[in-house]
Amino acid sequence: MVRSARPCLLVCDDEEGIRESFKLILEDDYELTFAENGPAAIEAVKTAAFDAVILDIKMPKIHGMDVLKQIKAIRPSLPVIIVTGYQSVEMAQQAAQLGAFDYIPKPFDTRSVKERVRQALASK
Amino acid sequence: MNVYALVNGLNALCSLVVALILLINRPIKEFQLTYAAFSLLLFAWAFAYFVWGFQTEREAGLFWLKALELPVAFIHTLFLHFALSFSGRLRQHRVALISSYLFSCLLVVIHLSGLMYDVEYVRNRSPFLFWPHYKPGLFLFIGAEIFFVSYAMIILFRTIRQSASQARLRLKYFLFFSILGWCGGITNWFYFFDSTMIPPIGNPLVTIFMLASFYLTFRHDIFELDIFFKKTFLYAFLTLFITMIFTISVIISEQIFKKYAGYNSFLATLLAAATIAALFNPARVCLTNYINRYLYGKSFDEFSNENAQMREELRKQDRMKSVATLAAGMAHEIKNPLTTIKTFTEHLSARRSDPAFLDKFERIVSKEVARVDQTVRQILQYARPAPLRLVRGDIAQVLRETSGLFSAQVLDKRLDLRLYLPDHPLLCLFDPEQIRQALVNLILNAIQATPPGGAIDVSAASSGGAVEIQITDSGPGIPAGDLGRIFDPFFTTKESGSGLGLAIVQGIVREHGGSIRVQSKAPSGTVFTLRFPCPAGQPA
Repeated sequence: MVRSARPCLLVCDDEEGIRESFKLILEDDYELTFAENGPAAIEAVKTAAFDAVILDIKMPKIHGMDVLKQIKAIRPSLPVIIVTGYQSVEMAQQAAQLGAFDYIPKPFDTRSVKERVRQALASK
Repeated sequence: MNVYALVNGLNALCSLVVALILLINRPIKEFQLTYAAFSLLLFAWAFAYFVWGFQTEREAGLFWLKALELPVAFIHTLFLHFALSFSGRLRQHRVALISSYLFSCLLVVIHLSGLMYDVEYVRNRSPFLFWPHYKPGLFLFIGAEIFFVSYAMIILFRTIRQSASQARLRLKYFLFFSILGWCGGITNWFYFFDSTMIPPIGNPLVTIFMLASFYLTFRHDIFELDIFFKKTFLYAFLTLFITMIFTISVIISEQIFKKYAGYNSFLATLLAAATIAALFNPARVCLTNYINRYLYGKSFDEFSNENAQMREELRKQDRMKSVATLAAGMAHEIKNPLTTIKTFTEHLSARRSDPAFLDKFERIVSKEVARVDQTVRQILQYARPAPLRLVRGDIAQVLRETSGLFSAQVLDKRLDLRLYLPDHPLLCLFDPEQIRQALVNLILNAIQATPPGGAIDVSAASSGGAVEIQITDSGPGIPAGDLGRIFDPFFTTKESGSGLGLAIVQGIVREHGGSIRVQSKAPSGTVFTLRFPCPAGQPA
């Protein structure tokens, strides 16, 4: 993969609506790659260099937490922002323990998504 | 015959049974485990006491005496441990509990060093042949027991005042039976101090305490105990009252007959029986009211109302649990489409002139709105199913019609949908709309699970007063780990789907008084078996 000048983001969500939403919010500023499930995201992280990952938690096949674990095992320094509909303290703590940079609760808005992505990229 | 020791034999048996039942119960909670340990200690004490009571040889008597006092050193500690975990206050009183354990260890040392009682000064306290005289160590033992047991009681009392009504009643009974049990146990102390006024008659109270608290621990529905408790009081008083009236009536009638008509015991008894018959019902009503008013502080109606309220409280708690499960599932099912709708509408004004965006907007947003609508309808159907409208009809016909609805999907995937239905009608009482809904969900699942070119079998037959419907697919099967969860609301392994389909099917089948079973061995297909009862008189 040829690295472009703009930061590259991997967005992993099983739902088309959410993927399209991230596309609307982020496509003007970032190079976006989409994965429809956990295994595809893990494969993408193995083969390409991303600057940050946006990862849904509830997905079929592999749970988002397990995907996060595997991504962190492959690229420990890659910032991962998780996206969740459940705003529980336990889940946030578990994600933080597994090395997640931050989390975006659903339903999200354009400004907060952009802000979190910017912070994640600044943390690298 | 040593009745006191015999009672403790019964005590030992009860304690052992209670401990074993608690220990084989899985999963075991901490307070149940501590109660099992407490019961085992009681068993050790009661058993050694029982054997000791029947010893005739001095040496054996002294051995069993020593054996019976060893577990006693830990009884008050385990009582405290149980009381703390039962009332949920273990963390706050950890220091007291540790101190109690340490003190129990000290008591064991004191006991084994021979400082508890004087074995040289062992006397015959009929029916016990070897009852020793106290030594100073016994004061320490009694002091520890009074202190830690009172500590446990105070905690229980405080917990009662702060608890919700249902827990309060449970703890109140536990406290009552605890006091009863410990009062019974205390009757064993007096012989040590040469006091023969109070023999060890309280041991049956220990058995009552143990069985009652076991009941309270296991059965959270305490209403039955309440009624039992109330009836015990009522009938004990009533028996006493009737015996008294009967005796007085017989004596008076005998005197009257002797004086005026010569002695006639039959007539005297008859008169007394007539008096009892006339007095029984008013006495029972009067005593019930008295017990209700003075023992419970309320009338029977108030009492029934309170129980009804508590049952309603329990039902509400159950409902809240399922609402919580539903809410967690809804978070995902509703928030995802909401997120999409929100993002697209946020960008609408800026991209109004972008035809590609408008195309996507129309396609995706309308799909997501439909999804929210579908989820809400399914939740309502699950949470508040329509009342059953039972009609007598042919369930096989409903199967034929429902299977026919899927001809397009069957053709698309080149599936072989095979119907195995009897020639005669399968008559049963059922709600055709709801059964159709259940079958649609199951057949749709089967179609989605089966790979192109596969087969689905739908069969129905009558067997043993019931109608049995089977839907078999040739899909990959359900992993063993998921089998226990497939009927949970919002549980799904599918790429799309709310996870409510099977929960709704289960609800419908249960409403009909039937059962649903799933057999699946990944990777060789799944069989759903629905069984509906067709009672006698309803030919299946």
